[in-house]
Formats: sequence, C-alpha cells, structure tokens
Amino acid sequence: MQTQPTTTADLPRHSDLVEERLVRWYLIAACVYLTIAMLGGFLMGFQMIRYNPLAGIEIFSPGRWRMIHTNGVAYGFIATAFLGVLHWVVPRITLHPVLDHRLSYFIFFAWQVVILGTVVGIMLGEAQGLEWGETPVWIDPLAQVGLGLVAINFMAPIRHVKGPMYVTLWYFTAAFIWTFLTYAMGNFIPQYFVTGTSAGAIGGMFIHDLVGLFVTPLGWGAMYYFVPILLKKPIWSHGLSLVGFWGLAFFYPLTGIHHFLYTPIPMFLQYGAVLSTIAVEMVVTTVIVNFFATIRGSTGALRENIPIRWFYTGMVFYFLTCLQCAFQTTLTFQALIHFSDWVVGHAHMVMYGVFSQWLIGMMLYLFPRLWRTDWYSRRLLEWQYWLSAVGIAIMSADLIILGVFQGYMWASLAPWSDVIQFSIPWWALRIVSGVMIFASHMIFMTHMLLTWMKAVAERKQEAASNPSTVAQTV
Amino acid sequence: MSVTLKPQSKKLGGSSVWTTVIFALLILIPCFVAFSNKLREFILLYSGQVDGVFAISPIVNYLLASLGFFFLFWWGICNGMFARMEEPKRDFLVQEWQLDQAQADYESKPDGDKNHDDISVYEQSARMN
Ligand code: HEM
Ligand code: HEM
Repeated sequence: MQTQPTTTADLPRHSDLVEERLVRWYLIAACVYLTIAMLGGFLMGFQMIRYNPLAGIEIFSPGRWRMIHTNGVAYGFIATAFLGVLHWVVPRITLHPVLDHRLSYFIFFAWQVVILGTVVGIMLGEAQGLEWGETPVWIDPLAQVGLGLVAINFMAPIRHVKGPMYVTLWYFTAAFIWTFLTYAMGNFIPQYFVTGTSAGAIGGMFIHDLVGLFVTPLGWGAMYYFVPILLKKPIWSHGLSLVGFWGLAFFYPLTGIHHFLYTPIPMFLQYGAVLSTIAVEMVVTTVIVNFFATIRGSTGALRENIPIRWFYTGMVFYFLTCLQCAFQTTLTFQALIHFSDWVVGHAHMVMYGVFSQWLIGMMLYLFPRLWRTDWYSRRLLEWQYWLSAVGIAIMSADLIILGVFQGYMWASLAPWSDVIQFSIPWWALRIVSGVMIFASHMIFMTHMLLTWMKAVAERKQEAASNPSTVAQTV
Repeated sequence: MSVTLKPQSKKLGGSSVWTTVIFALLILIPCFVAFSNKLREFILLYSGQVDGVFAISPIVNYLLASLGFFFLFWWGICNGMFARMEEPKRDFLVQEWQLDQAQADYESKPDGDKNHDDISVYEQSARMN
C-alpha cells in the first residue's frame, strides 16, 4: 500500500499521529447531541398522539423541535461522531498526522458553534426553508468554510499516500470533496439563485447527496477500516470494494430526484433518478456481499465481540432498508407510500439502525482504547445492545407497516381524520420503541462515565505503585 | 515484529492488455456514439423553449461531475492505484498491528528508559494536565 515500513521501529508513534483528546471530545459531544435530538423526537412524537407536554410554549413548538431532531441527528450526532472517528482513522492509515492540530481544535469549536447556533436559530424560528438544510442562513457561510477546512486538514495526510490506496481512503477523499460541494449546492443555489420546480429538483438532489455522498462514504469507509481490524482478517475482496466505490461515484449523484417523483419535475429526470437508483442498489449489494463474505467462518465474533455485533446488526438493517428502497423507488410503489410513515420508517431504519449503530460500534471499540481500560460492565453492554436493536426493529416495522395502511386508506379516499385516528396507536408504539432506544443511549452515557471513573482510578493506582510509568491521558 | 510486504499479484501480459483494450473499445465506442447522438437530439428538442435550460442543466451537471470522476479514475490507473488490487487490504492490517505494538511497547517502558526527544508534545501536554 502507501507505506512500506518493515518493522515497528520504522513507524511513527500512534501518539504523534492521533490527537486522542480531540477524538474523545468529538465522540462525547456527539453523544450529548444525540440525547438532545432524541428529546426533540419525543416532543414531536407526543404531539402526534395528541399529548404535548409543552403545548403553548413557542420555543418548544413541536414543529421547531422536529427540525432540531433531524438536524441534531444528522449534524449533531452523525457528523460530529464521524469527525472524531476521522481523527483516529486517517492519521493511522496514512501514517501522517492531520495538517495542523491547532486547525483541528479550531474546527472542533467552530463546529460546536454551528450546531448550537442551528439549535438556537431553529428554536427562535429562524429556520431556512430547505428540507435538511434548515440551518439558519447566517450559519451557512461558517459551515461552508468549516467544511472546506475539514477537507484541507484531512487531505494533507492523504496526499502523502503513494501506490495503491486502501478503499477507506478512496471513500474519505470523495466524502470530503462531495460534502463541500453538496452543502454549497443545497444551501445556496435554492436560497439565492433558482426558484420553483428547479429549486425543488436541486433540493431533492441535496437531500439524497447528503445521505449518499456524505453519510454513506464515511460510513462505508469507516466500516472497511474497523471490521477487518476487529475480525483480525482482511476484507474478502478489495477489488469488489473498489467496484462499490466507483459505482457510488458514477451513479449516486443522479438519484436525488427520487425524493420528488410525480412532481412537475420533467419526467425524464424522474426516470433517470429511478434508473440510477436501481444501479445504486447493485452497488450496495456489492458492499453487503463483501462484508458478509468477510465474516464467513468467524461468526462466533458476533457473540463475543460487541462492536462487531453492532456493525453486523447495522449491516442487516442496511440490507433490509435497501430492499425497502428497491420497492419505494419504483413509481408504482411510490404512488402508495409517498407522504406516509413508510418513509419515516425508512429514515429511522437507515439513520439509526444502520449509521448510528455503526458509529456506536466504533465508539465501543474506541473508548476503551482512548481510556486504556476495558468497559466497566459486560452486562451493561448487553443491555445497551438489546434495547437498541429491539427498539429500532420495533420502530421501523411499526412505521413501515403503518405507511402501507395509510397509503391504502388514502387511495380508498378515506377521510383524513380517519387515517389520523387509525395511526395514533401505531404512533404510540413508536413512542414505546423510542423509550427503548433512549434507554439504551442513557445506559451508554452512564457506562461511559463509569468506565472513565474506572480508568482514572486505575491510573492513580498505577502511578502510586510505579511512579515512573507515564500517566496516560484519561 | 518484522513483516516484509511483497507484491503478490502478477503483471498482465501483452496479449491480455491488447484483448482488454480491443474489447473496451468495442463496447465503449458504440455506447459513446449512441449517447452523444441522443444528447444532441435532446438539446435540439429543448433549445428555444423556456424550460430548456432547466431541462438540460441537471444532465450537464451530472456529466461534468462524472467527467471529474472519470479523470480521477484515469489518474488512478496511471498511478498504479489498481495495480496490485488485493494488496492494500493486507498491508493496512499489518500496519495497524505494528502501530499498536509500537505504542504498547512505548507505553510499557518506564520513564527513565525513554529517549527524552522521543516524547511527543502531545504526551507532554497530557502529562501536564
Ligand atoms: C440505496 C439506497 C437508498 C435508496 C434507494 C433510498 C431511497 C429513498 C427514497 C426513494 C426516498 C423518498 C421516499 C419518499 O419520500 O417517498 C428516501 C427518503 C429518505 N432517505 Fe433514503 N434511500 C437510500 C439510502 C438512504 C441512506 C443511506 C440514508 C441515510 C443515511 C437515507 C435517508 C433517507 C431519509 C432521511 C429520507 C427522508 C427524506 C425526507 O425527509 O424527505 N436513505 N430514500
Ligand atoms: C428516541 C426516539 C425517537 C423518537 C421518539 C423519534 C421520533 C420522530 C418523530 C415523531 C419524527 C417526525 C415524523 C413525522 O414528521 O411524521 C421523526 C423524524 C425523524 N427522525 Fe426520529 N425519533 C427518535 C430517534 C431518532 C434517531 C435516533 C434518529 C437517527 C439517528 C432519528 C432520525 C429521524 C429522521 C431522519 C427523521 C425525519 C424523517 C423524514 O423526514 O422522513 N430519529 N422522529
């Protein structure tokens, strides 16, 4: 690959490469944002079953907190956690630190300003009228500059790589460029340059490019890094993983308009989106095949190794959600499920069931290494996993099935209020499954605290018994 | 731990390269001609209409983005990025183990055994915390 060291002596030291404190900060911040975002989900969820505990308070209006929920999970949790993971992975694969650690700290603080500014802006009613880009317009330039700096900071080590690059780096490189361009396209063009259907088409491309060209390549790239390390064997086929990468590069950018099928957007663009989505389905299949072929013969790891369990649970949900996508992207099926809870089910299954499960798996692997100690309790790990897995399985099944019923009820011209009445018990079940997911997250946060305290105690003990060993960062 | 990383895959022979090139041209040239023709027809159909630019611009955007990727792909081929296709997956794992090993060795050394220059700024700041 890029590096040809033959002994450990030729290698730079991990502590020179990775700024561990920053990784810890990012991961902890991400978990805090996920907590806030989930509370927003509950507020909206309670509103939908007609029990809003904070009714009448404008800054707690469920409409606003729905946006805090979606932006919170996308930018607060997923993006922040990925930034932390990148600070670990990129320097280790390239054997070069990021461009400048001071820049990394600056980006960290700027990113917190962007997220908190978004939350406050939305609470005060200053959301931008763009789906998934509700960040107030005055934050957009800062976020855009920040994304540029992120790209520069991480591309510096990748630039040093010579010879065939490992697939993770292909994905990350593309994600840095794509995210910068996607953000610019989605947040500025519909706001300042185009209107009407054109703005709708751009908005559709923005939504899907955000999930497909920012979340997906970072997620896949990170999985190609962590899974082989944990299974202690290489990925089944590197060639196939590259087919996946180039397939994503060529087919994904055109799929976005599948969010707006049956709209006034010209039909040829809608057909184009459907066709390229079918192509993307095949690309996704290559990735799934590769990961399942890799674990063949090592399935025992699913029982023993908790991060691997999270990764492969996410993989199963990935398979399921892609199967779901294969249906929902066809025009026949779209006519039935568009605007229904089927789509909300898809969104939760893929954003939580897949990418958040992968990120939590990564955190479960990284925190013990960052704190130089094992997790405090295996039992808590098991509780966290089962509550989360069962919770998201119930939530997605509940919403997806409800979506089909809603679609048929609308098609049979049932009165709107009947459909709402019918949906309420299903939405109540969503709250129940949400409580399970939230409980899992609270267990995780508590467990982090307990493990951190254990690490501090161990370091103190070590320092007392052997004062000459270096006190590690805790 | 000492690991030697050897190239494993074989180089393609001259006849294989020619076969690949001929087949690639056989497929790509008709595709390219057909696609350009259709695009030309499409542009002629829409030019002069009010929503013409809107109809064409997403396609042009997509083509430009794909062209960028095509050049990246080409650059990758010329720089041997796909030469030893399966090797990076092993090299990266070996490197990971070596990094962990080196760090573990380093952390287990008592302070006195460490070359002072060897202590990174990050570690120094960590000690001060
Ligand atoms: C092959 C992969 C995928 C396909 C084919 C696909 C397809 C679709 C389609 C057709 C819709 C629109 C449904 C409608 O409104 O009727 C949709 C919505 C959505 N998808 Fe996906 N999707 C895929 C992957 C993903 C991924 C990876 C993510 C997240 C990381 C994601 C997140 C979402 C979200 C959040 C929505 C709802 C958007 C909204 O608020 O309107 N999807 N997807
Ligand atoms: C903890 C429990 C959760 C509850 C109670 C909850 C509830 C909700 C509610 C009520 C909505 C609005 C649906 C609508 O407008 O019809 C929503 C939307 C959404 N939630 Fe959650 N949520 C939870 C957790 C999560 C998590 C953990 C994620 C991702 C990591 C997530 C991602 C989303 C997304 C992407 C949407 C937008 C869906 C769309 O526009 O189609 N939610 N959630």
